[in-house]
Amino acid sequence: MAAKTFGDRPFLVPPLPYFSGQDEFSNSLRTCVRMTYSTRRKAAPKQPFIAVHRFSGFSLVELLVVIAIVGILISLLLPAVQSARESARRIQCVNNLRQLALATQNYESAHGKLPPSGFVELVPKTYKQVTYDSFEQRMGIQLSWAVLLLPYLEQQNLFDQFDLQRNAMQQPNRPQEQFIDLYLCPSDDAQGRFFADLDLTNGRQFAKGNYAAFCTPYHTNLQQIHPGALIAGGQPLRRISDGLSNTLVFGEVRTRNHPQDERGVWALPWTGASLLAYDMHHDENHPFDSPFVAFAMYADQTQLPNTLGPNSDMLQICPDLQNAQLEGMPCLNANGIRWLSVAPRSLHIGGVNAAYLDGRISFLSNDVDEYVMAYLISVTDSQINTYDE
Amino acid sequence: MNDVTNEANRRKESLDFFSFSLGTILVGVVLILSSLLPFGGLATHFQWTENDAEDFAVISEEYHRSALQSPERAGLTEEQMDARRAKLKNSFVAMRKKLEHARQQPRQWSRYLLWSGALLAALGGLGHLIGHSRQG
Repeated sequence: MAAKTFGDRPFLVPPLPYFSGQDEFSNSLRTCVRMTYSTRRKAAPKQPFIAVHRFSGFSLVELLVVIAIVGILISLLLPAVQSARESARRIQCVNNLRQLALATQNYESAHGKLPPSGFVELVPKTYKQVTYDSFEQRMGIQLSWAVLLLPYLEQQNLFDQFDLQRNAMQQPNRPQEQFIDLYLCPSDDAQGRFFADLDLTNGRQFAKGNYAAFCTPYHTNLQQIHPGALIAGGQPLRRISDGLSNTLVFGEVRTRNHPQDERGVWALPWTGASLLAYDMHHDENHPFDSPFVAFAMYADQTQLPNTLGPNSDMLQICPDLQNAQLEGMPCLNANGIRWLSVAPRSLHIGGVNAAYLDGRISFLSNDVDEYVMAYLISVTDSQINTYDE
Repeated sequence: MNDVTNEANRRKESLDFFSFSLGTILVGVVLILSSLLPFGGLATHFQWTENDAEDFAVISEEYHRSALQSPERAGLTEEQMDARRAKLKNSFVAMRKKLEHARQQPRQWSRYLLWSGALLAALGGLGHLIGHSRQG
C-alpha cells in the first residue's frame, strides 16, 4: 500500500485489482469514481487517475457545522411543535370542561337544583342595613362542588369514600388525595401536585386540579347576595334569569408546584382552589341586596383571565412571591383582607377556556370586556350578555 | 533559509487561523445548544428580585385598596385622592412593565443565544473555508 499526498494530507493508495482492467465495466467504474472524486475535492491536483481509498466520514469542522445546523433547526421548530402539542392539550381541556358542564346538568336533573359551591358555614352579617349570609370558606365541612359531581363523572367509588358529615381535613379514607383525570387540564402539570399545610389542612394532602366554578361576580363571601352559577346550598335553574347560555359556570385555573399554594385543589371550596370570584363591585348607589349592577369605579381592578394585577389572587398563604409573580400567578395573603377573589388562569395562549351552564364552551380572551364578564358571571343582573370568541 | 522560515511562518499562520475558526465554530455550537436549555430562568431572577416582588405586592395591594377608599375615609380631598390614585397607578404600571419584561427573559435569552451562536458558527465555517482555500 503506497502513501501518497493529497494537498497536505497523506492518503493510502491500496492496490486495486478490480480497477486495473480495460473492460467496459472497469472503465465506467473509473469514470464514476473520478466524477465523485472531482466534485468532492476541488483542490485535487491534476494527476493521472488512481483509485484511492479515502477515510470516509466527517472532519471535525464538518461535524460541528452539522451540529450547529441541527441545533438551529431544532430551536426554530421547537415552538411550532410545542404549539401543535398545546393545541391537542387544549382540546382535552375543553372536553373535560364540557364533561363538567354536562355533569352539572345531570346533577340538576337529579336534585332539582345546581350543585352547591361548597359545604361551609354561612354566617349572618349586616352591611348597609342589609343582612346577608356570608360564605365563610374555612368554617364547616369544607367540601366542594367537585366532590358532589363525582357520581356524575363515573367516580362513584371515589365519592363513596367521602364522608359528607366530616370535615375535609378529617376524611378517614383520604379520598381528597386522588387525582381525577377529568379535573386535570394537560396544559398545566397539576398531576402529582399536592396542597398541604400543617395549620390549614392539619398536614393532610389535597390533590390539585384545573377547574373552578364561578360563584359570584363580587367577593367569594358575598356569593349568597350577588350569586354566580354555583353558590352555597345550590340554586334552581329558574333563578338563572339571564339564560343558561349566558351564564358562566366553570373556568380554568393554574396550579403551582408548591405545597402551600392552594390554587387548583378540587376538594376544597376555597377561593382559587375550586371557586372563582371576579371582584367587580356592586354599584353602591343601588341597595346592597338589589340585582347586581357593575360599578364603574372598580373597572381595571377585576379578576380578568390571567391578570397580573393590580388585583392579585387572594390566598390563605401566598408562598414564594417572586416565583409566583414570575410564573404569572401573583397572589397575596388573604389574612385580614376581605376581598376574596381569584382570577381564572391557564397556559393557553391569550386566555382561558370557560363553560356555560348550557354546556357550551368558549375561550375567554385575556382582554375580554370587564363588564361583559361580570354580567356573564352574575345570575341576577337582569342583563343578557353574550360573548363570542 | 528564508524560504524555510517563510514556509514555517505560513504554516503557523494557517494553523492559527484553523484553530481560530474551529474555536469560533465550537463556541457557536455551544451557544446554539445552550439556547435549547432554560438558562433564561436565571436572568429572570436577576431582573426580578425578591425585593421587586415584595414591592409589587405592596403597590398592587395599595393601588387596589385606593380604588375602594372614599376620600373622606382616607382624610383627603377629592383632588388629593385622585392624585394619590394616579401616583399609585403609575408606580403599579411601571412595576408591572418590569415584571412583564422579566417574564420575557427566558425567550429573549434563548433567541440571543441562538442567533449569536448561529452567527459565530457561520463566521467560523467561513473562516475555515477561507483558510482552506489559502492553503491551496
